[in-house]
Amino acid sequence: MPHPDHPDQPAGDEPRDERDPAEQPTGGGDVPAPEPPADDAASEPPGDSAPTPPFGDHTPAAEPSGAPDQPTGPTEPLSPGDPLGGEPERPAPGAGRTEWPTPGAEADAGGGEPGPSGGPGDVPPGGVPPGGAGGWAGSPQGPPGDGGGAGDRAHPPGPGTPRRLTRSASDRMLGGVAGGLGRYFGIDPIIFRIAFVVLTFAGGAGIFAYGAMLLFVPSDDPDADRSTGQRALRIVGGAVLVIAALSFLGPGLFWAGPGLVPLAVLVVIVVLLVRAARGGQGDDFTRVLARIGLVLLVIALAAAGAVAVALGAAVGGGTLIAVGVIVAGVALAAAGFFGGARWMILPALVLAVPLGVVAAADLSLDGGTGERDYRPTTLAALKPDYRLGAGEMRLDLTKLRLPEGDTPLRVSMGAGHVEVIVPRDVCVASNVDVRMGYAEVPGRADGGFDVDYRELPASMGGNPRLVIDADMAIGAVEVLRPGEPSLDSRHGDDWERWDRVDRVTADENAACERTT
Amino acid sequence: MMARRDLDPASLIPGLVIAVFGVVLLLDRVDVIDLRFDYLWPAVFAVIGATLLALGLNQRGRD
Repeated sequence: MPHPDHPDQPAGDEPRDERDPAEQPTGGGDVPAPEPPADDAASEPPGDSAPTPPFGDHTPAAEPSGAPDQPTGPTEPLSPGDPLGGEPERPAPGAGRTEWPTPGAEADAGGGEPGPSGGPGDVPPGGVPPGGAGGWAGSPQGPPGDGGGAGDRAHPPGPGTPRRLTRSASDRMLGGVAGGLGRYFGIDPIIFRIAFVVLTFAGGAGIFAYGAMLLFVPSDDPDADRSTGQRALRIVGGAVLVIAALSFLGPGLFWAGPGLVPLAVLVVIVVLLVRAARGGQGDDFTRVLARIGLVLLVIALAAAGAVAVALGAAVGGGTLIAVGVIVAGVALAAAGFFGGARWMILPALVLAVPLGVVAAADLSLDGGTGERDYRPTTLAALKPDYRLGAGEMRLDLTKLRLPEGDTPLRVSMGAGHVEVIVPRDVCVASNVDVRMGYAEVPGRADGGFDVDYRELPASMGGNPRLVIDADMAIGAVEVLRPGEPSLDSRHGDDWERWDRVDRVTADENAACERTT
Repeated sequence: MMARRDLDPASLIPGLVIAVFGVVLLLDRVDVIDLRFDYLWPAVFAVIGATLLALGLNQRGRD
């Protein structure tokens, strides 16, 4: 009887099949397969390790790889000492995976790639191996074996099969991306490794490119695919630490800087959702939806918890929360000696990161919330200190006649917008500290994190000088002249306000002596 | 209930890093130091990076 997938190859050609056919399992290829990994076995229906047609002849792991004349039909399971079998305890790459396609299963289980039993590093560009025990991956003309995933079993690649880009399981420094690219393009992988490093230091694109390929390009080793999650964590963790190191080296070296935080959060959410969607083998659509829903619920709870922690810290509970972070960290570390308690990591981060943001912003909601509009007309009505927790504050000094000399004014806010209008004949000296946001004073404007500058020009010709000490945790501080557009009046055109950073001139503080 | 098992670096390392981070936050809250974003972002990156590395490098295979 001809082989189902190779009609031109009679079953009688199978040289190793010396057993009585009556003793053999039915189904042609239903040869006992090596014990699948527990995580796979758990997600498969019973009996999957002995697949039935249409894939029955391509038994996982049971077939020695490499030799072109190897059987495609039933064979003896590999013994630990089988020289062709590779590692005795570990199913041959691409072979031990008994993930037979089931409704709802991943279509690309196993990556759909040729098995790397000969080692991807042995395979020259183009996927043609040097021969020998290279596995069928390196022998497109040979029997299909079981090197690939389900897709390959159903459609063994022939000479006309287009090459697919895969990550190399053997020729790799991190995730095998450069090794796979090198094999695909027939170039020494070191070229790609250098390119990734250069692109990383020339703006950070290398990290994103590498991460994207790590996520979306399958490995040529299904065993490696199984641990993709852990390896991805390793890579992401390494990248995060590299970013941290670069951040210490100074601004400008890493273009994205803190902007990477929301991007990183987004990437983590997408990865979690993708992993939840892929899930286990054989899951139906309802279970996939349930997993995605669970991930979204956890994300939502974490976000809500983070907001609650930030608010708690902003209203004065920061010290208590910091103690909680220490306790959580110590408990987590101690649990590491007793089997671990990884579930505590997320709650600990939900405590620590928002508190860190509040601490760095020096955010305090003391002073109430809402809108404040002050228009003092006499010096007695001018308070030395204006404070608002969160909201909008407008301090119009255009009706106020300031005396000669210095008049101190302190303005502080937790989160929101402060606008101070100062007559043109008043020299403005300012000491501004905006932790996150935008600050503009006559002659200077800046935005971003830790906007901190002191502009202390002397007054000219006996003009009065207003010395403003402004603190803002998150928001904007503007000291404007009458008629100058504020952020409020510039709403709807966000780019316009940042353009102003470049258009501010010293002429706006003409009542002061030129410091240049 | 936790049984005594092998050391779990994926809990130990993040725990230590988070505890140290907590000490920094506490010092800021009691006005011993002034934490700023310039220092916060690298610290956050380091905390998260160390956590991910510990999880990823651990070969015990628990996910």
